[in-house]
Amino acid sequence: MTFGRPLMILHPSHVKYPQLIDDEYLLDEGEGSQPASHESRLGFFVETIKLFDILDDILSTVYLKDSEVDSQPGQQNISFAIMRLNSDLDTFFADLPPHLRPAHGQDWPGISRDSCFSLQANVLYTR
Amino acid sequence: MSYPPLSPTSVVLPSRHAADNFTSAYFNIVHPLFPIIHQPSFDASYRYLWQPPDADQPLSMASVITDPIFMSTVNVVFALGCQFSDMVEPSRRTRVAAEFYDRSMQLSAFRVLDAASLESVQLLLLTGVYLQSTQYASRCWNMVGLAIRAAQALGLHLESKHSSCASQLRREMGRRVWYNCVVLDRFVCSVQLLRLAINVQTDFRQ
Repeated sequence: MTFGRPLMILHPSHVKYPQLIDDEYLLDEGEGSQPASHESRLGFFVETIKLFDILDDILSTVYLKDSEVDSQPGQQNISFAIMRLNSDLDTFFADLPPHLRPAHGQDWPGISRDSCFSLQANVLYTR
Repeated sequence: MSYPPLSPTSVVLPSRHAADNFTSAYFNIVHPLFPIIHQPSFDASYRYLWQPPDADQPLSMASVITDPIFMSTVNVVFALGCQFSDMVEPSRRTRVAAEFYDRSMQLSAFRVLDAASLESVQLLLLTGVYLQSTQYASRCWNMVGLAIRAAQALGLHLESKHSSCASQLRREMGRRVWYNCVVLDRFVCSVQLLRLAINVQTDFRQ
């Protein structure tokens, strides 16, 4: 797919998403956990994985169409697919935890963000 | 897996001040986006690099400085970190980063491919992240491919491999490393080329 360069990892992975635990709480013996008092820095990474799943779907549904015209149903179904993908993106955005939302427009006042999270929020939005 | 140790003369480090600055820039800027290595484990080995020889040090730490994979990893961390460092003038950052990258490649060469280990996959992934910032798009694509192959050789694409791992640290790092492979694969195949395609279209309109 995607402009002539195939992905190496084609199928959605069965590996569980990484747990939302920061580096310093992982233990070699026993099970460490993230303190409830602050968000894990891993949240950004897991959201990135979910977003890329949707982007992958978009690229394969929308851009692969040309080569598969004969076997694919008509225009209507493409529109339907695009609406579904758009709704996937909306759902993804709506489900984002507050600390990873872009800070545009003062929509989420009162959230104190450290620089790590604001970096992550901006990069996630750009992707 | 042990690799032949490096000769002590091949290990070159920047000043401690610069090294700390680059490492901290790496952990502030790059690490939150690509959680490839485990910071406390890296820090423990990194600190050892600067210690005088001491009989009290555990033997496993004594070999850090001659471990080609670790020393190569340190240099890629410098290559990534120095691009966000206030100690390097913006106009020199690309060149300084390239020097660290070259050093990293010389230290590990293709030894990294001889037998897969979590550390060698981490090194390949970090090198892929660095190459994204360079003009070598093709080299980057191939490097990420090598990382994925090495990860698959370790079975990191199988959940059973992770769920059977007794150590939480190694289990979680294994999952993170695998998903960094997934993310970088998609990044180099779709996002980067999509941007390329968009730029080409823009140019046509001008």
